This record gives sequence, structure tokens and C-alpha cells, in this order.
Amino acid sequence: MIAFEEAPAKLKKVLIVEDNLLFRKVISASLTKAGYQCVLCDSASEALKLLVNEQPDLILSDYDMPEMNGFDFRQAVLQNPDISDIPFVFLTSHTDNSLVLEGLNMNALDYINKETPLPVIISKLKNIINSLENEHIRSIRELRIAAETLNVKSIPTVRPQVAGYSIHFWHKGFRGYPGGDFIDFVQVDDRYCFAFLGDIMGKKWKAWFFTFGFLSYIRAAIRFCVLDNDFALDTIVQKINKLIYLDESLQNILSSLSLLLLDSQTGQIHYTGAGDLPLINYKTETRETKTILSSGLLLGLLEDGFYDKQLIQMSPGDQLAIFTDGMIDIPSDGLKKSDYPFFVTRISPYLGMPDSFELIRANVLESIDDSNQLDDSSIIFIEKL
Amino acid sequence: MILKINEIEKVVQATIMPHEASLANADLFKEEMITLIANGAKLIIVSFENVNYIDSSFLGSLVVALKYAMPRNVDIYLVSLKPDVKNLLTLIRMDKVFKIFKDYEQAMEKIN
Repeated sequence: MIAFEEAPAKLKKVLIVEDNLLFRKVISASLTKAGYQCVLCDSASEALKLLVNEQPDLILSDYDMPEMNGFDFRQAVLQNPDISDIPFVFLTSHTDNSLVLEGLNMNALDYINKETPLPVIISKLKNIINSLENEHIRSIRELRIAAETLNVKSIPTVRPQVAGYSIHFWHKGFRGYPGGDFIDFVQVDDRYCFAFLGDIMGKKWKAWFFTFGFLSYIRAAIRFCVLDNDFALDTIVQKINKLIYLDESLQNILSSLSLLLLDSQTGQIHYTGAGDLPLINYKTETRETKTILSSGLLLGLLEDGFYDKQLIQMSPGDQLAIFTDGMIDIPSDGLKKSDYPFFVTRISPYLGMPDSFELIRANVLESIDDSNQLDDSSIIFIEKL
Repeated sequence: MILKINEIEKVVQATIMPHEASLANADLFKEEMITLIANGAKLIIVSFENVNYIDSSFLGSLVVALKYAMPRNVDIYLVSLKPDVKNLLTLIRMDKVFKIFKDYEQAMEKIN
């Protein structure tokens, strides 16, 4: 028996494209044992179909296959920008030097001879996957440092202190990437504090880069309205919407937004939403949980977003949860789905307690991890003291 | 190709083939929709009959297609949405921007 090293922390997925059933089984059994998840295809055309939905961490392909050979398969992968970056390795018994060269010239990371002893094949693949992972981690770290140096933060670091309210927030990026969710608080004076949360449609870096454009617009719009002494949230959101709608560089980018204005003097919270999920509101007096819907459209969608404004009367003990759609995306029986009512039932038992948010954090939020998270997840939780 | 196309006199029935409409196929969907519009379609009826899950990236592409279609006087209808997908679209008010029908037949009745 061969002893394999520890399995990697996150299960890496390897796509094996091989027409020989026996070899397919042998190689996938060894890789599975080494701690990898394998997806098997017996032809290149089947693999191309699968790659529409699947994003493996590595593609391992035979050369000699009926219909489409490994090189033609490689060309097809290279031509599709969505999958052309996936690391690619040939595993074949055709080891003619000119073939090897041709294979490597197609940007393949390696060209492994099938005659190589199995443990050596597995070690080679493992080294390739590990070195790619290390490079990936390094790149992310460098980008993070760059973003921090530029002082562009899409999530605040500390909770705001607002008289009469207790405010918590929580955020987890999709697979640890900084994504398209943003949260911010703008304290106007002793009486007023704005809180907002949004979700730029899209994931990972692409969404993250655009969050700063959006955040700047939103912060600027709020500041201008404060200068004008205009606290009507629907007009503020309409102004933001129009700016984004007319900005050509943001033409294909949309975002949801929940904008709230906390009034310490009256205990009221003003609210306008743009394509956001309904808020969850717990009322101490009736011990009831209800949802609050707004009518506005996603920012940047149409020139007029039909924004409304609502006034939420908060009595001591009343609670309000505002969150992005990553919270309601859950896997069920291996299939992904979005289930808003399910999220409401999950957090409802913890509402109306003295330490509701800590309970929600411990029982709901901390169970969100790479294995079940489908999108950036963010929540703001407000309680009237 | 992630759309299966059936075109009759500039009315295009486009069925999304994958079960998951997500980041992995959102860009391809957007390109295929824009190509259909650029090729002269007057109405595109997008069927979600296979789709169990839609993420925000794909929703973004759907809306980009609509924004491309509107100034060109092209309509986009959505049909055969499964309950979870329909609920999500309604929750974020997409039902105000897209016309949604039960199935192709109902959508075709509307135009005839």
C-alpha cells in the first residue's frame, strides 16, 4: 500500500477525460483516495458539455479518444474564455516527442506518460494542484494588501455606536473572496445615522472592483443630501439610481440596496429599498415576526426605479434584519436553491431574546462555510434599546 | 450554447438548458441573448423549465440582455419558472420589469 499525504483542506475537483473504462476507474480511485473529488467523462464532447456547469480545479485528459482527440479537446477548451484558464494536463500512452511538444505548446501544464507508476502520477498531479493553490493564495493576499493600502473597504471593521440602538453586522465572502456585497454606516450627527447594505450582481473579483464605484456614489449622494438637509430616502435612492443608470462604465452592472436612516430622537427607522430582499422585523409587543417589502427596482436598471419610502416604528426590544441573497441560497439534496421563507424560519426562534444576534451568529451564521455557501452573504441586525 | 432555440417569424423561443443558471454560464447566456437581439428577433421568450437555481450573476446577465433589448424595441418574456426561481424574481421585483407567463402557450396567446 502506498501512503498518501494528508488530503488538502478544501476538496479539489479533478475532471478526468478518458475513454478507457479500466484506466478511468483506476486513476479516479487513486485520486479519490488521495483526497480529491473526481468527475469522470468518457469522451471530449461529454466533457465540454459538463464544463458548461462545472468548474474543476484541474482537467486531466487522454490524447487518443474516438471522435474528438485530446488535442482537439484542448483547443475547444482554450477557445472558451470561461474555462480556458483551468489547469490542463495530458495523461496518455502516446509519448512521441513531437506529440509531447505539441501538447505542451497548447498551454498544458504537463504531459504524463500512462506507463508511469501510479503513485508517481498521483504525486505529480498533487504537486501541480498544490503549487497552483499556493500561487492563488499569494495573488489574493497581494490584491487584498493593495486594496487595504488604497483604503477601499466594502465592509466596515467596527460596529457604529448610535444612541438608542444596538447595531451588529456580519459578512462572509463567497469562498473567501472579497465579493460584491457592501455594508456601510454614515453617522450624520448625534441624532441621525445612515445604514446601508447592497449586493452587486456577480461574484468574486469582478463584482468586488465595481463595489467601490457604487460605494462612492452612495456615500456622495448621502453627503450631498445631508448638506441640502434632505433626508427623504426615496429621493436619495432615485438620485443614486440615476447616476448609476447614466454612468456608461457601470452600464452592465446592477446592484441591490437597502438604505436605512436611524433616528435616535424619535426611535423611527426610515427605509427605502432597491431590488433588495424584504427586511425581517420582530415586534416585541405582539411577539410577531413580519417582513417589510419595498417597491423599488435594482439600481441602474431603469431611469425611474419606482422607489417608495417607509417608516418603521421601533419600540424597545424591536429588531430588524437586513440581508443579501447569499443568505437565502442553500443547497438541498445536492441541488442549489433560494429559499427566503426557510431563512426566516431559521432565524425566527432566536428573535426577541436578550442576545438575539449572538444566538443567530452561533446557530445560523457560523454554520455557513465553503461547503454550503453559494454567494456572498451579509446581514445587518438592528435592535432598539 | 446554453440556449436551445426555436425561431418562428422573429419570435424566438429560447430554452435555458443547464439546471443551474449561475456564474459559470452567465456570460455565455448574455452573449447568446445579445446575438439573438442583434440578429433581428422582435420577441424572445426565455424558458426556465430546466432551471432549479439562479444566482445573482445570472440575474445580472438577464437584466443586461433586457437593457440591450429595450432601446431596440425587443421584448423579453420569461416562462415556465419553477416556484423557487419565480419567488426569488418576485422578491427582488424583477416581475415588474419582465413579463412572466406560465408557459410558451400562454405567452404566445398574449401576442396573438
